[in-house]
Amino acid sequence: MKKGNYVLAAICAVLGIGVIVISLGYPTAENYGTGVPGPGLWPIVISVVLLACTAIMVFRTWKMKPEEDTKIEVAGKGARRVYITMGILVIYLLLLQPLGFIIATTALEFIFIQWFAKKNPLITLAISLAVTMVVYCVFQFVLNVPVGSFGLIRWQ
Amino acid sequence: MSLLMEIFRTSLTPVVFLYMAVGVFSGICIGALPGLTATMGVALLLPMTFGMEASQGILMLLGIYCGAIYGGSISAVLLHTPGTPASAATAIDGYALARKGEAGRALGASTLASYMGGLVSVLCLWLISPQLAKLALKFSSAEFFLLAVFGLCIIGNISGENIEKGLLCGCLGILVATVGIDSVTSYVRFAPAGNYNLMGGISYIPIMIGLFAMSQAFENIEDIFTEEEVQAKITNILPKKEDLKKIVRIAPLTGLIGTFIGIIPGAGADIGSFVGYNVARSIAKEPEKFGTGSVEAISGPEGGNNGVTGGAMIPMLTLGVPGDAVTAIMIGALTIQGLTPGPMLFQQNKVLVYTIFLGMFIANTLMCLFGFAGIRLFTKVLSVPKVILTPIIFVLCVIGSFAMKNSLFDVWVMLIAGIVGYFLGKVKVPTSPAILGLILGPMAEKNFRTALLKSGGDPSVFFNSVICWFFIALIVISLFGGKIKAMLMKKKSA
Repeated sequence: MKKGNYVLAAICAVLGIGVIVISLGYPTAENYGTGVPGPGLWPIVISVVLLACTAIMVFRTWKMKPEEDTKIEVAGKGARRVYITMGILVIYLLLLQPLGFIIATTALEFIFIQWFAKKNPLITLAISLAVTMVVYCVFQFVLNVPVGSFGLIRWQ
Repeated sequence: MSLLMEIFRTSLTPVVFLYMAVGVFSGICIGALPGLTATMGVALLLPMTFGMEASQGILMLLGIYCGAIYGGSISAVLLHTPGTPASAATAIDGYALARKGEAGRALGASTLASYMGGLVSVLCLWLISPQLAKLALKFSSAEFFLLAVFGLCIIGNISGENIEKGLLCGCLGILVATVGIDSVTSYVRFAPAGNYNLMGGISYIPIMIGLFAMSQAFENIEDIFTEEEVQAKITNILPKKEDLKKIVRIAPLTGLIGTFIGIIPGAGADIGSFVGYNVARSIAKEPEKFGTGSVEAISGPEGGNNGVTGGAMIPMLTLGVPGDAVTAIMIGALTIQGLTPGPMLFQQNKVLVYTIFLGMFIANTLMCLFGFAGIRLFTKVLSVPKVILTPIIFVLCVIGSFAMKNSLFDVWVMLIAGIVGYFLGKVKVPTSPAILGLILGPMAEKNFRTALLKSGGDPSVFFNSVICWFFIALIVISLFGGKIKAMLMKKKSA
């Protein structure tokens, strides 16, 4: 937990300082002449609060007793499975535009179900196609939410 | 009376009843499945309402909300795994009863207690909301600014031991909300020139879907191969006279307490449930049986958590401030329909508001009916394999975030929010404050600057009315109340 807290603190510190630096370059109340604070004030105030919270978190983590320091699973089998899943989803989103919803999603479902359920590939393909088509038809035709406006197979 | 007739004629049509029934049914199924929360259910199914009329969509979401909060008790009783965090307290005695072979008795008590808690909250919603809306009409920008600040200060109180982590997450939410064109000066903040997606601001619906549904699905992936089996036999679901007396004595009271917890911005059904459990123990006739399978111990948290549902709707409808994460999503649902939650909703859309009140009563009644009639069916839901369910959740997350604006940018936002939410969960950072920050942050900033604009830059505008001072007092209490109480206790014990 300690390491995780320090990593989070570092990210928040960089973010907070970055926001303050950028916001200082925005117009101020004097530029508008209406007494209204400029667009930079609010992000600066929030970033200061963010930095204060980060400092408190770092202090509490530093003072944390060894028995309170729980282990975070970031490299175990389960976590690795999650990272691979995230990677697959990133590739899926990259392919979503050129391939279209039906093809990309059927492929995505096939990969996951085959990986997790280890069924006969033909059965997996049937399930993947069925899930994709049900979701697609419910949104596109029943609920009138357009989802087929891009890719190889278009309905609009 | 004419209003009631108009509601039935225009809004509560058979189609709406059907949507509500679908909502309650799917809500119970979602709640019953461990790992799927009420917030996740509402976030996932929100895009389904985009093509519906406002009343249809919002009532379906309400059905999911009520159903899911109740549904969580099914796996809590049968598997000792709360389906939603709101059922954690129910798991203690519910599972103890199930182990004694009385799972049906536990589920029956939970169904009836949930119904009673829900009914009390609907009654409070009906009585309090119009009055609060009338009062809120007197609010100017200064009052709304202080209200939003109060809501943001509450973040610390709902973050448990990790107050600084909750506040940190809230700040991240507020900062994300500042991206794009500033509503007061039209100045573009934190968006590169020409990037129209960022210039338009980051929508909070994809972030919600990412934080609550996608990150939860990632967590499910970690132990995707573990399936739990329901062993318990379910008989004697209808409560006997003896149990009925206990439920009637406890559930309405904890439902009332849950309602008031729900009114506090950010405090959700999980808090209502544990407070309900403690209250039930303090007024129980057999407190010594708590922990060993007591019907009173089930009635307390179940009344409390369903009480929160109506309570959370009160600030959402009257002030535009979410009572919890689910009502934050409902603000999004109303906004998409072109409606702005707040006092003006009661003036301009009276029929819709009262349809929601009546719909909430119907949703609770449907929940009770489904609970008693279909409990055996819902236990079957627990057998749905995670290996199929989780990939479906991924697709629903994608389609849900895409559907709002037909934008792939939103899908990326959702995925990033999901990944961030997953890692935040690892370091025990609560993600609900981010949503409060996303909604209340812009509200606070806009009203702060509008108030100063109206007063010509005079900051005394924030101290000019009794309502302002009331909110200032609430802010001080929410920030320092706990510390002052601890100091007084220390002094007393010394």
